[in-house]
Amino acid sequence: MTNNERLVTAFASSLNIDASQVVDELEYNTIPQWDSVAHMVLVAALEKEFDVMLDMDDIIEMSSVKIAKEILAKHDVAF
Amino acid sequence: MRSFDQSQSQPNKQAVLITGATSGIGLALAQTLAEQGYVVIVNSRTEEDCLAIAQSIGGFALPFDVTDETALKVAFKTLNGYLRDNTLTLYGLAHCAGSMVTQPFHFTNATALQQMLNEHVAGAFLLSQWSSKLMMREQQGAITLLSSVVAQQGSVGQVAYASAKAAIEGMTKSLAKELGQYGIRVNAVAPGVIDTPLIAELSDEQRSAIQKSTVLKRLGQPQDIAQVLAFLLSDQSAFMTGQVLSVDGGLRLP
Repeated sequence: MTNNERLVTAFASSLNIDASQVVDELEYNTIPQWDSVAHMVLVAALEKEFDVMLDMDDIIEMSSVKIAKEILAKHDVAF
Repeated sequence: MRSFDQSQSQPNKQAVLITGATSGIGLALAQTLAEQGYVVIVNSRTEEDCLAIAQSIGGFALPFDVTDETALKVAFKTLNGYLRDNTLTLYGLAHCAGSMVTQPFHFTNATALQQMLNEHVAGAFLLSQWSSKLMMREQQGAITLLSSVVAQQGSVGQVAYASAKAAIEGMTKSLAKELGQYGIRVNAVAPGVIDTPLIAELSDEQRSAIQKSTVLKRLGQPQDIAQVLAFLLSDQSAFMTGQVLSVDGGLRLP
């Protein structure tokens, strides 16, 4: 499984949405499923999946799928 | 999320981070939880002390200063690696570290106040933030914080300490409300006067006076508090959150 596929799976299961909805343009708080509660479930899932510890600034900044990839890239996860 | 089912407990796979684990209440809790089979993550500022206690109870030493945000961040990354390598989950946090400033109000400067707020309030805040993030992975966990009898009763010469401990009680209730949806419980214990290094400077007369003011006519021992913290961290308190339990030998009874 590629890192992108792992990320899509983590997003889809955490937000309880279809994998097809997980595109770079998907943004925080633009769908009911990606609210502040689900955001932390997502953070925990990404941390576990990629074995990273995100800083609080990362969590606040992670406002889209695209930015999530950029943040994970800072933690040496290549996409 | 956990139900009240003791059979679900797997202490040997569950780690509990204890700050201030090399003396007083923290040490008593570390020994208690180790005896119960939990994997204890032993924290204090001093590496040598941490290693000694971790070795004596079979735990993992994680020395860092809870008031140093950068050190705390590095420590949690180390902890994450330890948990991963040993197939453990972080199940509990007990923030027992912290000193006590006892000075008349007009002799207490802003630095002393800030020290109390950093150790007790900012420390609890950041530790809870990082710990709960690890607990969310399993959708379960228990956080215990230490308040004090002075948070609600006040105490002459302890305005800074009491202010910090009062903040802990508000934090406990707010954290409980926010983290409950992730299966994480948050409770606090408000000890009375406990026979730890924090009260080493009390005279015999002062100790005697305190003993007489409790219903049980004695000072508390670290183990008295550790047992209650262990209960709050365990599944035996699975339906308790947002509570501040007074453990003071009846000190505050009218």
